[in-house]
Amino acid sequence: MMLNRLWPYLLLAPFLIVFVLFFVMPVVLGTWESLFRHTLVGGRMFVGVDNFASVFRDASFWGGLLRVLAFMAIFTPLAVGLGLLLALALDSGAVAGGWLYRLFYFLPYVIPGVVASVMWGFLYGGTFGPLNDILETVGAGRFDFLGPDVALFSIGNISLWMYVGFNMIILYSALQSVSPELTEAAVLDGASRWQIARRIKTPLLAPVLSVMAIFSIIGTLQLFTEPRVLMPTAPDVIGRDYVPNLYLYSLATTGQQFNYVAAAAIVLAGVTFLIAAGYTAVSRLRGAR
Amino acid sequence: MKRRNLVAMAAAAALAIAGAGVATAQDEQVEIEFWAWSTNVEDMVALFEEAHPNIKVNLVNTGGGSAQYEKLQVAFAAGSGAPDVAMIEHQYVLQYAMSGDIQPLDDLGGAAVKGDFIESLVNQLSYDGKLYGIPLDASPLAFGYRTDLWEQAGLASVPTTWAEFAEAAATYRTAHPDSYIVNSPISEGTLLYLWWQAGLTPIEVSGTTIDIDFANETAEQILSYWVDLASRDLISTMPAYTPEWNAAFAAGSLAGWVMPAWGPVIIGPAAPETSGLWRVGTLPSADGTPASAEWSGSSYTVTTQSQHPAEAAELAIWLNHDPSAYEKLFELTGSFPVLKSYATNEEFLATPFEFFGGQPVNQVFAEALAVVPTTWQWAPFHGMVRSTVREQTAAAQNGTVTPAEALANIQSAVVSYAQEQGFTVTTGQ
Repeated sequence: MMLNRLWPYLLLAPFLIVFVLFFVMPVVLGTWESLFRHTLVGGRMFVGVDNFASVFRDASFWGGLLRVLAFMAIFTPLAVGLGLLLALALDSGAVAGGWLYRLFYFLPYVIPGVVASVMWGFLYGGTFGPLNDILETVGAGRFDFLGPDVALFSIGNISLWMYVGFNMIILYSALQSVSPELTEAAVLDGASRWQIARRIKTPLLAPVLSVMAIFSIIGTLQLFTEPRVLMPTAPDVIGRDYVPNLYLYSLATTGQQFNYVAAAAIVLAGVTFLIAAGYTAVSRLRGAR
Repeated sequence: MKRRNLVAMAAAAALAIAGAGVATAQDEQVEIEFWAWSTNVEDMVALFEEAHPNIKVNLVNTGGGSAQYEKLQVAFAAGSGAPDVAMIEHQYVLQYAMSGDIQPLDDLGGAAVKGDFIESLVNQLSYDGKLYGIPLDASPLAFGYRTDLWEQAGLASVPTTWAEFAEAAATYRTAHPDSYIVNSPISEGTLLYLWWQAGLTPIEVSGTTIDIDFANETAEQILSYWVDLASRDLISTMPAYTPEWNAAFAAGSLAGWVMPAWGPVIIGPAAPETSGLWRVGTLPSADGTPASAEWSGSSYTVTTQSQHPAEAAELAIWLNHDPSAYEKLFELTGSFPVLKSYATNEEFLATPFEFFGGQPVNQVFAEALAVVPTTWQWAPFHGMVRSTVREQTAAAQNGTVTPAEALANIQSAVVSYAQEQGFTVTTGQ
């Protein structure tokens, strides 16, 4: 009897222990730490919500956040849209050797972000990068891929390269579950491949697309690897406050401001939550209509 | 952080006991952990263990400065996990000394050897009169240049003043339109050292009082000088240590470098095909009187978390001071000596360098080390100062702010940071 009651908890334990240790505890500790300040002179003191007040006045933090929001607005639709386009193309059967394409598009996702960023850093290189060599050969002149106006797009390009294939695979798998009878019926009704993709398959993918968009939003707000790796090659453009996570990382490692970083991280988590919740609410409303 | 204090107290207690009986402690086998990334440190540790059969050293080669600081920072904040001995660059020693994460070495054998090290180094490593690090290498600045390219432009040697250097930059650029005489120190993040060279003291710490003086006339003149050279396209503006920067040396599109004593280790492998074409000259100065500064260099420090401070200090001191170790260190690493007796050693000074066409470049670096202003101090929050200076001077170079505005911004940012950190702040006294 007792044992029966205990079973569910025992089975849950492996997950719960790890979850509490590595998720709940850090959040609780971080929240606790965010209420203090640690100074070189005077040591540790309780400062209440002072750290949070400073975060709300911190132009570097909000500037970086605006930048990732712009990044999100441009690249989330692109990453999901391109993934969808590729998935529909492969699913339509119009492409021979589909598995080969699936493999090619998916491969970048397997490469760790740091490696991908280092590699793209070389490709973008100003005086020795192959992209610039090509531009020069065709007479277009050299181009600074990490210049002030284009660095964000160059970073976005790396993300697209990495994630479009991943999105494609997920959507392609979802398409496999679309009943062939639906498409057969559509074909009999005289629908073209494009109409089938547009009017039948895409609406059926809506729930998957929605989840994908949320993951993409959360992932974007945590943008870190690419700017961190590219920073040394373009320090004047990609500063330490380029994106919020990079800013917090710099403050923690070179500025020793752990308490402030804890507060800022909580604010960032709050913003992420609000945006994700906002998106979910909007897509529910649209679904209800 | 409470835990850290406890550990510090425990360590202090251990210290009191150890101080009373270093000799008895040596009878037992002791294990100490050592984090470092210095060249050939493995061989040096083996040498130490040979001479100290009772001490076993667990060496962790962290691979580099930034990786090590991130790990150290976390271990210090957590109150556990730090090594007994940690390699720390000179400019961060004061920071960890003030935060109480590393301990003074005077009573652990440091006092006896202090006088044997070069003064400008001991000054950088001291806080409130106590020594916190045993230096491993010095890095006085000189000027390395491509003698062939310079000669083609009609330049015989490194100018003695910065004013003449600006003229040389223009002459050079006319002769070599696809090459630059030097890369911008603003882009390389070394402008601070040129302020140091000029005898400025933007940071002066005494106890819990800090004097901050970035917005002064000399600092502005120096910043404006480089901003001007960059805006006239007489110097390149590449970030340092990038593949692009290495490629520029190899391709001859950079023909000079404000070069630290460890420069040959970097530039040699980066541009092997230019071997023999380089020379080293004295760094130009404001008025022609030789003056220099130091570009980093490292020390071994003993953490307050160490359970064996006596043995840890022995490791830090022995590796950099014992004659047999020092001989070996020198042979293995080629790093610039920190002991007075070696910096004036004739054999050392006369050693020719193939990369520099057989020139005994140590002579130039030794002379530079002797004229480093000894008044310079690092901020106890150098990471913050460094990135602020880097960002603001780069903004001046890009033309987004004027040099005066950049300095005013640095001044106010550093002042408010110091105040937040609890310091009593004075400005320019």
